[in-house]
Amino acid sequence: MRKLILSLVFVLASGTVMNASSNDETLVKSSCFQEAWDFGTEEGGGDETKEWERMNAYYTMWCMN
Amino acid sequence: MGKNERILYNVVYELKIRGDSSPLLKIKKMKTYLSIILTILFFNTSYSQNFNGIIIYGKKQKTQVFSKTDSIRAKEDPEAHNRFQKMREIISDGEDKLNFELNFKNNEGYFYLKPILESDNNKSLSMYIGTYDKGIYYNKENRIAQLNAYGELFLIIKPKLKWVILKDSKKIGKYNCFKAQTEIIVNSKGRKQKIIAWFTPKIPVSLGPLGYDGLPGLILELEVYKKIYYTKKITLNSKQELKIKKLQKGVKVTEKEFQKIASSTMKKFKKNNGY
Repeated sequence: MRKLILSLVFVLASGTVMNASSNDETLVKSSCFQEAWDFGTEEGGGDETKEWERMNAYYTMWCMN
Repeated sequence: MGKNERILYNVVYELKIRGDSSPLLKIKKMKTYLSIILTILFFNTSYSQNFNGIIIYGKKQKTQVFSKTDSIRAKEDPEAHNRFQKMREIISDGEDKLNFELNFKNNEGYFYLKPILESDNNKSLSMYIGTYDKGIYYNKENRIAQLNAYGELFLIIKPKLKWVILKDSKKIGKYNCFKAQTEIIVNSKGRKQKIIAWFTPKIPVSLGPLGYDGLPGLILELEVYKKIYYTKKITLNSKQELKIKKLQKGVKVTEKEFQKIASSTMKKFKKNNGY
């Protein structure tokens, strides 16, 4: 999971550099998704279904607006 | 050998070995023994047929431990840290309002979340209702969980649990409970999670909340990762109608198969940034 997150962070970071002109909203959404993913990982305790459920809840609460 | 089998064995043994030579006496003795056996069988059958119950469980958060990751986040990104804490609070407050019911009759049971009405005070129910809280059916052979995940309805056949009964004991209500521990595998990579149960042999039903079973008594408290399921009310030999739903709808999979589905779905999900 850590490797996955690191690789995603890397992909996101490089994507950010490459698309410096892309709009801010996309950036905010993707970093919010990352935050939701982290929340799911911490609260799910390795159970991917619980992680998915908690991540969804976090995303609905903080990233949908 | 069970208690009844032992009694039967002793009776047969007595008749065989210590049998009187007189045929009349033999018949008399046989009649007496038979009536004893029939009485035992009658009471045993009627007791087990009527032994049912409804147990109400609540769910709460274990005492929260501030992890290393939390401390780092609090320093580096206080806003995100506050959002994490707020989210945990929302989930925990919501879970406090939930009631679960375990209905059982003999060794067959059904555990489910009691429906609650959505109001202004408990908006966004889905946020704190766990995927596993929705319905689990158990009988002597199987534990089957029905859950809606990744846009599909699944029927997951859970593997048998291997419990270790520990020396610790505590009182829950009027019941003396013993501690037991087991380990479950929570993902396709084989990650293990410790489960702790407190059961009472006084209620001879080997069931418990959330599909946990197989102990020599009812589970009154269960610790699963950061959550505790605790007993709120016990009604034995209830005259109320029992809700035991044999779950049939959904794609039937073993837990291992389901974990593989979960893993590949999450990989795709992550790759597509949540889409």
